[in-house]
Amino acid sequence: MTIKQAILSVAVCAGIFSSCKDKDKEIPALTIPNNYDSTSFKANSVTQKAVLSQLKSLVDEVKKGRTGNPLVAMTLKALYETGNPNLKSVGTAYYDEKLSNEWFGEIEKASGGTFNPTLRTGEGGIFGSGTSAYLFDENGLEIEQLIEKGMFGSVIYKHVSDLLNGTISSATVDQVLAILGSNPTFPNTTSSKTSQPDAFVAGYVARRDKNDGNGLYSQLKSGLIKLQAAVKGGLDYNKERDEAAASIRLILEKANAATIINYCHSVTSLLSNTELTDNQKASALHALGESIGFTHGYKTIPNKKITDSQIDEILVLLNAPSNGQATCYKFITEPLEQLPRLADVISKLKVLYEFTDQDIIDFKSN
Amino acid sequence: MIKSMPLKASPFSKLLFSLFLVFICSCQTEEKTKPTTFDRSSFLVNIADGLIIPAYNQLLTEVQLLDEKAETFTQNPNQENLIGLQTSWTNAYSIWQKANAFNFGPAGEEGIRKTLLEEIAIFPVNEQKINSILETNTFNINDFNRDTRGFIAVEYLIFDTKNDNTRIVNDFKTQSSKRYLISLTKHILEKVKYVSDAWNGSYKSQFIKNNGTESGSSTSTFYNEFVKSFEASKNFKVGLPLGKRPGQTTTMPGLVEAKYSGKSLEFLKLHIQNLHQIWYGKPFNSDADGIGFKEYLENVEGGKDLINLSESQMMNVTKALNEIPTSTRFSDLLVSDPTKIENLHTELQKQTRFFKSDMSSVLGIAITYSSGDGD
Repeated sequence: MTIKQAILSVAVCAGIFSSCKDKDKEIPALTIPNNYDSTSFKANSVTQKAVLSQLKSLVDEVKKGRTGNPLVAMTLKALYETGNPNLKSVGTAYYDEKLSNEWFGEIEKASGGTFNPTLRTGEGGIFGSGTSAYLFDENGLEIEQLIEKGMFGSVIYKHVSDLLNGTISSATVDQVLAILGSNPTFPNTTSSKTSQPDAFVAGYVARRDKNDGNGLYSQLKSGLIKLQAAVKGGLDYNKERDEAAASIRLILEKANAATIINYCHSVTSLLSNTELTDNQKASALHALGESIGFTHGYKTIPNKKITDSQIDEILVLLNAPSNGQATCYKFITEPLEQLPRLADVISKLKVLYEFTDQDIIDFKSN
Repeated sequence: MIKSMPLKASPFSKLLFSLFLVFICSCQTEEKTKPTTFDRSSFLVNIADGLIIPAYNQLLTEVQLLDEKAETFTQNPNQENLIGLQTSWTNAYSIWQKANAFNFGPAGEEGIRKTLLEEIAIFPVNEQKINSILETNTFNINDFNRDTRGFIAVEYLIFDTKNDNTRIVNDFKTQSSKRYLISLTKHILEKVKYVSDAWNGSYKSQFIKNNGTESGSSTSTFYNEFVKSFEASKNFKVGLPLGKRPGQTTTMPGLVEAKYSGKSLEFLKLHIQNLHQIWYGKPFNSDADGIGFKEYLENVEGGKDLINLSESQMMNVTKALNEIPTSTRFSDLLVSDPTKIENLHTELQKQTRFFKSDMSSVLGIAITYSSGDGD
């Protein structure tokens, strides 16, 4: 071997050993701060806030149906498609088809009428009075909830899923926080006494949290802070980033399921009373509508724990099958026979999301 | 350090010395009243072992007897067996007054099952619905018509407001009356047995283990149900028949508890007395002292004052109860001379703040239910 070859060999070996040493270099554990960095939140969340604002506008219009105002499908569709991006473009194609080709038209037909769960004549209408007045279709289904709470899944959760499935930057984390309806102060309340209360999906996560530091909201907060930290930390923390993203998805699903359980408890408690007023019946159908909306909106969203088949099973138990005629009124006319179906819904969700017995009890509270 | 005072001290010196003594004494007093940690576990053990479990055990015994007496009567409807049944009902419902404040845990609402109180002790019952059942001999003991079931439905069948036992014996010649009565007593038995078994099984340890004070803890739940039971005695057993509830303009004697047997006052006294027993932590059917809310209050700041006020007002309530004439039915008295009942209501109203807002504040236990009655 010549001197030149020897030097070259040594250089190559040195390079190999150097890279081995780099591989062996320890990556420090991710430092996760106590608080979320809100520096760029306002700037990064403009689009998401605009989408939520459009959702509010649409829901405000739909709610006019509760007081007898006629609703116009074209008006609802226009609100649904306003903005760039808009609710239609952000949400799932499946739910878009349902809203555009079925439910906007159905709620238009129901608006302006009156509904009686026993007689069921016409195309539906208002049942209940005062603050317990709600608009139902001819089968007792409250389409307003399919629109609003369904879009919590089909638009909001779908958007979170898209953001977390793409390239996650610091801006992305802010966008996830924003589309949920929360903010860097993580208020964990919907109370108007707070300057920036949680709203939309975040509002319901807060309602399922006992404020003891261990609940779903606290877990969501921790997940978002960890995600932010991992992203800022760079490529070395991709594992932590992916863990945080996965945990955020699951927490949101669990909070959604917990909300469905909450409404099932509410319907059961109301309709198993000895004597019922029309307002109690209307409130029960409204709560049922909420559970249906929260369930149906998740359909066709990819990478979720609950499957579309399981969603369909639950919708059948709620008397609102995804591809058939709803029979929600049966909870009013045959409560003894129908209410056990809600116990089945709770049972299925409990098993799927591994809720404890105490969780199921806790989910009775708002 | 105080120097020894001369025998002939000036007035000013005497005043100073007096003030100093007062200061020393008050310091010592403050040290004596410094709050200590209350042993909530022992409290919960006493509540479970001393009050709740014996109450439900005795209630189970009594409703088993009630069911047996119902069987005896339906197999052979006569005056003697009816009186035996009526006595058994009275005994069972009396014990219920000692258990109705424990309307949580296994006695709480679960799914379509309402609380034990709602399942077996709703009043008034719906006479029209019951009569329809008797006429058609058709009913579903598990439907939601709880105003056709429970203790008061049994009372409706076996007591007469004019004490006409002959009429009742005659009514029980029909198959539907017999069948319905047996269904009612068996239903009560089933519900009570479930709760009693649960308390004698695994629920007791769960109850004792959950010894915080947050919403959902045993102490919070027990306290809230205690207050609810007090409010039920005040609002539904006295206020509503008296016409004192929001929106009422007249008395409604038909809404009294136990109007068919005429024993409304007797049961009201037992209910209120039991609430006082609970407050003191006295064991079931005993006057011995136990660990109750009184002991809890003794261990918190401001508790002693509240104890004095509560005890004083409990005596006022008891006095007002004892002043109500017993020779006339409670429901009739509401019409003929409600003065003493109104006085009772006033005293119960005064008691409310001591049991509810003040005790909640001093113990730091939130009221978690909505009474909706403007208290």
